[in-house]
Amino acid sequence: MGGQAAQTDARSLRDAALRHAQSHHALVDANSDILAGAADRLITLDSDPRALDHWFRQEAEKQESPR
Amino acid sequence: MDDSLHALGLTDMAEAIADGSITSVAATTACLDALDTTGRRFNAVVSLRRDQALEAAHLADQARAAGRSLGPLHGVPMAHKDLFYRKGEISTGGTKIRKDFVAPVTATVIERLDQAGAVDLGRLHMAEFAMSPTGYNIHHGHGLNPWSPDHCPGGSSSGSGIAVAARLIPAALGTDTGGSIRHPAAMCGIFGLKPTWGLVPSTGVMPLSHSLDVVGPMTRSPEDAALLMDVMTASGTTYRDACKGPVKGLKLAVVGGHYRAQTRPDVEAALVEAARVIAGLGVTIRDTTAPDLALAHAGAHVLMTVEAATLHRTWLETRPDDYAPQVRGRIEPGLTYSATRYVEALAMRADVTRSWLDQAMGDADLALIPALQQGVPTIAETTEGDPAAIAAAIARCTLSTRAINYLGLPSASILCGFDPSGLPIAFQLVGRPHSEGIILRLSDMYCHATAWNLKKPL
Repeated sequence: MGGQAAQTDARSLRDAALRHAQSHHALVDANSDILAGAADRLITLDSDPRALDHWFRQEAEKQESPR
Repeated sequence: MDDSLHALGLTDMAEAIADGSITSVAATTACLDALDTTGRRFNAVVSLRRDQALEAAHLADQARAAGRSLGPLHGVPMAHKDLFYRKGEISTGGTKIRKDFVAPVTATVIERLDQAGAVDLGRLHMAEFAMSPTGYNIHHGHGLNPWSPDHCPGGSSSGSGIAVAARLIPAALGTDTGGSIRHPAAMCGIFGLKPTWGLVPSTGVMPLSHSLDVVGPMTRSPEDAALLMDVMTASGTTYRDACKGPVKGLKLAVVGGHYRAQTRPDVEAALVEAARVIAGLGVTIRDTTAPDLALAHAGAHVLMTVEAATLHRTWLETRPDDYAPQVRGRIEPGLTYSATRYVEALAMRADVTRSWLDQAMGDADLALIPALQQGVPTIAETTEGDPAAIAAAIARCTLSTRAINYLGLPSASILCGFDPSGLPIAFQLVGRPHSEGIILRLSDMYCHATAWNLKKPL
């Protein structure tokens, strides 16, 4: 029972934090719309969340010394 | 303050200690005393390691007397933003929550400075959890700009900016997630380099957003920054050598559009003059226009807030009142973005960066944009009155900086004049991935041509 009470307490705290965070919904909605709209054009089945990392590593390997 | 040992630049101080003109103990004592007096007056200091630093300086002098060199920073004193860990020592991260946090490891860059012979003097003021572009900290008090204590010193690496500008120490490290090296560099009138994302190791540095955070040098000259880049990246003399190359024949894009949309007239005039000086160095100038930055700004916001909220979630739930409202409010949106938006922000990053490079730079080697379109704000503008006006004043600080972190590109802030109130004006040189050598080279030549970076606030 103690474990269940602790779980309930933790969920209550999470819910309270989330409610407070939702006061920023206008900014989150606006940015989400921008991202989703761009994703419609740019995201494909082959999109890679690590693409920038791969690119920069290749650039670093290409340069034995900075230009 | 400026005729004392602590006013020497990094390279000059390293050479003076190496050739025996001064001792490390003398330089270390001078810097510790300057931090303890002027540094505390401008609220640049969190903690000093006086005994440990003087012991290290003494050992450095003994080594020199025995004919041994510890490295390129032999006996040179420095202090750093209070998020660079040293094992067994407190690292507050500018917070109340971590006021007693003892670092379990030493940051890789601090280890590399140690190995190069540097003397670690202590830790400097920063914005709470590295979350403010102004130097705001409700727990430690606001940092003060050495050119005018009513004005913001910039953040989040505020103490580093103040201490280096006021000639209290020769150099410091900072971190940059949305401009946190470049804001204090610009507002305090020093040189700050945000390296390419992933170039400088960030292990043992308190994170804010892994996808955006970078570690970089804050110095009074590009030459000094090149020395620190060599040490931090363990690259021998690579950046110092690159710093000394020719600039004639380089191409510079002067970027308009978003970057000039809100530029104050005196800032605009300083930017035009900076481009004229650079053209006089034999650099070809071309005007370009920035692409729409809405997607880069949205992506930066999603990555920064989601990654920060992930790290902070437990404290946001259990200790929300231990955050300043301004800081908590900047992390909280990350609790509400969908996971799909987060992955999209990561997956589109390379495309957005290529698009920015194509449009803003074209075939140029570097791009010139402002550091602060509206100049240095007062502390009152960013802390007092209508919350919406405060938020707008803070957001203006990052107009030209925060997208660069999403793009992952290297960028330096360089002093290029002063406004009618005597506050610094600065521009950024942005480069392609891993083009720090070119940035340092052109910056160094510009600083030698103008000597703006030799102006002192105190």
